[in-house]
Amino acid sequence: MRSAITIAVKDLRLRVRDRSAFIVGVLAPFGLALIFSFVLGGLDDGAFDLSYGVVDEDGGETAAQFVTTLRQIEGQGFIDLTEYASVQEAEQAVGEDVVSVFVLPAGLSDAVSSGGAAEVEVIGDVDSPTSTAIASSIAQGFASEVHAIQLAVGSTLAADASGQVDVPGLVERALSTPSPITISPIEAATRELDLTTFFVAGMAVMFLFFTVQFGVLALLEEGTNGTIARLLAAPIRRTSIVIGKAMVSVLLGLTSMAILIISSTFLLGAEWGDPLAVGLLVVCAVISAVGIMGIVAAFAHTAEGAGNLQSIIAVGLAMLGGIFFPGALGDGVLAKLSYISPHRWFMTGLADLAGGGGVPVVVPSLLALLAFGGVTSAIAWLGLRRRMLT
Amino acid sequence: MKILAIAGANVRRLFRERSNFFFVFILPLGIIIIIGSMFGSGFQPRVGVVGPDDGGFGEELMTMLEADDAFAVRRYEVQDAMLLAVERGTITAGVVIPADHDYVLRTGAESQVGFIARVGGEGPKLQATVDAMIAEQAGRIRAARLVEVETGTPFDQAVGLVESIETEIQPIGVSQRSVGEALFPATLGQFDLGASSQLILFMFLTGLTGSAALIQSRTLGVSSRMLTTPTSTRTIIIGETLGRFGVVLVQGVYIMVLTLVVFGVEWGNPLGAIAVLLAFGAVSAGTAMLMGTLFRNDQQAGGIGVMAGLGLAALGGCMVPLEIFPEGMRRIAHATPHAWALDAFADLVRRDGTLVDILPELGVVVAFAVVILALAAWRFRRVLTAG
Repeated sequence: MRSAITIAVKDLRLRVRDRSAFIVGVLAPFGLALIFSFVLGGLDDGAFDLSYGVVDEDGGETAAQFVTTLRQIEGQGFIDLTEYASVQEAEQAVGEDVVSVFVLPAGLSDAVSSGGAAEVEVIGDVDSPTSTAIASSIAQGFASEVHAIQLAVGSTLAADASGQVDVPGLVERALSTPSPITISPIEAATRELDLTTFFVAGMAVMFLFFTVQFGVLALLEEGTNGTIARLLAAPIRRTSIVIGKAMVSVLLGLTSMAILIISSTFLLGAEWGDPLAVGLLVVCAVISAVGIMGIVAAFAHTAEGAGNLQSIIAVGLAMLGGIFFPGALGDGVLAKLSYISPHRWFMTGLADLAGGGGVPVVVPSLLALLAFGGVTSAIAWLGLRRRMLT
Repeated sequence: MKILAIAGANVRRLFRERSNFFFVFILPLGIIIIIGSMFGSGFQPRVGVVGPDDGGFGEELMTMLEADDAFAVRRYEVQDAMLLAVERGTITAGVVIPADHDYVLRTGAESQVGFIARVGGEGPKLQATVDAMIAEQAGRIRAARLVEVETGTPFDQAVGLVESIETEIQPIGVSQRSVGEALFPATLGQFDLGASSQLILFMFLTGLTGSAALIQSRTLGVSSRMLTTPTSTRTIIIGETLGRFGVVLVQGVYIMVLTLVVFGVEWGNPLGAIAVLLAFGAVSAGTAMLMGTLFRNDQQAGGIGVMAGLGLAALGGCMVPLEIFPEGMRRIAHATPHAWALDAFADLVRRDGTLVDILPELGVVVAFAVVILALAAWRFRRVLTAG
C-alpha cells in the first residue's frame, strides 16, 4: 500500500508541476461555463412576452366587456395591456412596445345583439408566434363566452315547440347556468437546473473524463518512457502500481470537481443543492469516469491510441448525455439513447435536486452511476492488472 | 513544389490520425443532428395531455388541443409521467382530462380539467389557450343543458340540436395576421440554422486543436530538420500555413457538402458561400499557426485550444443565433471574425444575397485573416530560427 501511495504522490507532483491537470480539470471547464452562461444567460430564456394592445373602434357594450376581460387577465399578472386610439397607431407599436394587438371593429356590439357576423382581428409580431397565438386564444375564449349565451338561447328557442318563451327570462337563466367545466391548476416543482448551474455541471462532468485520463494513461506512458521496467523490477507488488495510478485519477477527479463546485457557487452563483447528495453524485461520477477511462487504458495498444480513444469516448458520451444544450434531448429517440451516458445520469441527478430534497431524490441516478462505475472499474482493474502481470 | 509537399504532408497527417475521424467527421454530424432535432418542432411550446380516448367529450377536447397550432401536443398515458416531464422542462405544461369527463358532463355535473405547470415558469401563460378550448366545449354543453331543462329534450338530442344551431348563429370570428419582417423566414429548413454556425465553429476548432500537430513538429525536431535542408524559412512558413489551411478546408468542405446532400441545407449563392469558406478558413489557419507558436506543450495547447475555440465560437454567435443576442452582446460578438462570417452566411441563406452583397462582411473576415496570418508568420519565423 505504501508503494502505491508513493507512486501516486510522485505522479500528482508531476501533474501539478506541468499545470496540465489544472488547465483541463479546473481552468477549461470553469472558463467555458463562464463564457457560455455569459453569452447564453443574457438571452431571454424562451419567455413569452405577453404585452398586448387593444383598439376599440366599436365603443359598444360587447367591446367594452372584452376590454374589461382583458383588464381582469392583466390584474392576474399574465399580460400587460395598452389601449390605443387608432389601428395605425397600434399596428406601428407591434414589435416595438407590444407583441400583439386586438382590433375590435365598429359594429361589433350591434352584430352580436342581432346575431350577425363580426370579427375581432389579432395583429401580431411575426417573430412572436406563441404570444400571438395566446392572444388569439384569449379572443377566442371571449367569443365563445358570448357565443355560449347566444347558442343556449337560440337552441332553446329552436327546440321549443310551444312558441311561448319569455326571452329575457331565458337569457337570465342562460347567463346564470354555471360553466360545466372548470380548470384547476396543479403546481409542478422545478426539476431542472438553472442555466448557469447547467453549464458548470455539464462542463465539469465532461472535463472530469479528461482529468481522470492523467492517472490511468500514466500507466501506459511509463511503458513508452521505459520507466515501467524499473517499476516492475522494484520489490513492490505489481498491483500497487495500478492502485497508485488509479488513486491519482480518483484524487484528481474529486479535487477538480470540488474546486469547480465551490468556485462556481461563490463566483457564478450556481446552485447545486443538498451537499451530501451532490457529494455522492460526484463520487459516483468519478468512479464511472475512472472505470471507463481505465478500460480503455487496459486494452489499448499505445498510450497515444488510448489517449485518442479516451477523448473520443469522453466527448461522445458528453454529447449523448445532452450537456451541450439545455433541453437538447427532448422526448424522443435521443432521450432514450442518452441513458447509456453516465453524464446524463449525473445531470439528471442534479436536476432532481433542483426541486429540493436530499439523497433520496437522487437514488436512481446514484444507482445508475454506481452500476456504470462498478462494472467498468472491475473490468478495468482486471485488464490493468493483467497488463502488469504479463 | 516544396510548399505543396509540406502542405500535403500536413493534410495527410490529419487523415492518418484515426481519432480525427471522430472529431472531424462524426462529431460535427452529431451536433448538427442534435441542433436540428431541437428546432424540429419549430419554436412552439410543447404541451402534454392525458385523457380518455372513449370517443366522448374527453377525446373531443384532446383532439381540439392537438388541432391548435399554438403548441405541439404530446399524449401521455399516465399523469405522473406527464408531471415529471413538466418538472424536467421537457414540456411547458400539461393538461389532465379526467377519465370520466364524458360521463360527468352527460349526467349534469361539473368536470374539472387539471392544468399542470411550474410556478414562475412559462406554463401558466398557456392556460389562456386551454381556457379558450374548454370554453368552446363548455358553451355547447351549457346550451344543451339549458335546452334539456327548458324543453325537456333528452341531453344527447339536445347536444345534436346545439351543434346544428352552432353553424347558424354567427359567432364572433377571430382572425390573425402578422406584421414585421421575420428574423427567420418560414422557408428556413430545420437544419439550416445549425449548419452555418457549426461550420464556423468546427472549422475554427479543428484549426486550433490541429495546432497541437504544429507543436509536435517543433518538439519532435521536424521543423529544425526542414531548416537544415536548402529550403528558405519563407517556404517552410508558407508550407505549414497552407497545411493548416488545407486541414481546415477539409473540415469546412466536408460539413458544407454533407449538410447539402444529406440534410438539404441551403447555402445560398455558391460563389458567396465558397468565398466565406475560404476567408474564414484563412482566419482559422492563421489562428492555428499563432497558437502553434505560442505554446511549447501540445497537451496544454490542446486544452487551451478547445477552451479558446469554444469560447470564441460562443461569443461570436455559433451557439445561438446572433439575432437573438441583446444589443450589447451583439456588439461584443462582432469583435470576433465568427460573427462577421455568420452575418455573411445569414445574408446568403436568408436574404438571397450575392457575392456583392456580402463584400463588407467578407472584407472584415479577410482583414482578420491578413492580420492574424502576418502575426503568425512573424512568430513562426522567430520560433523557427531561435531553434
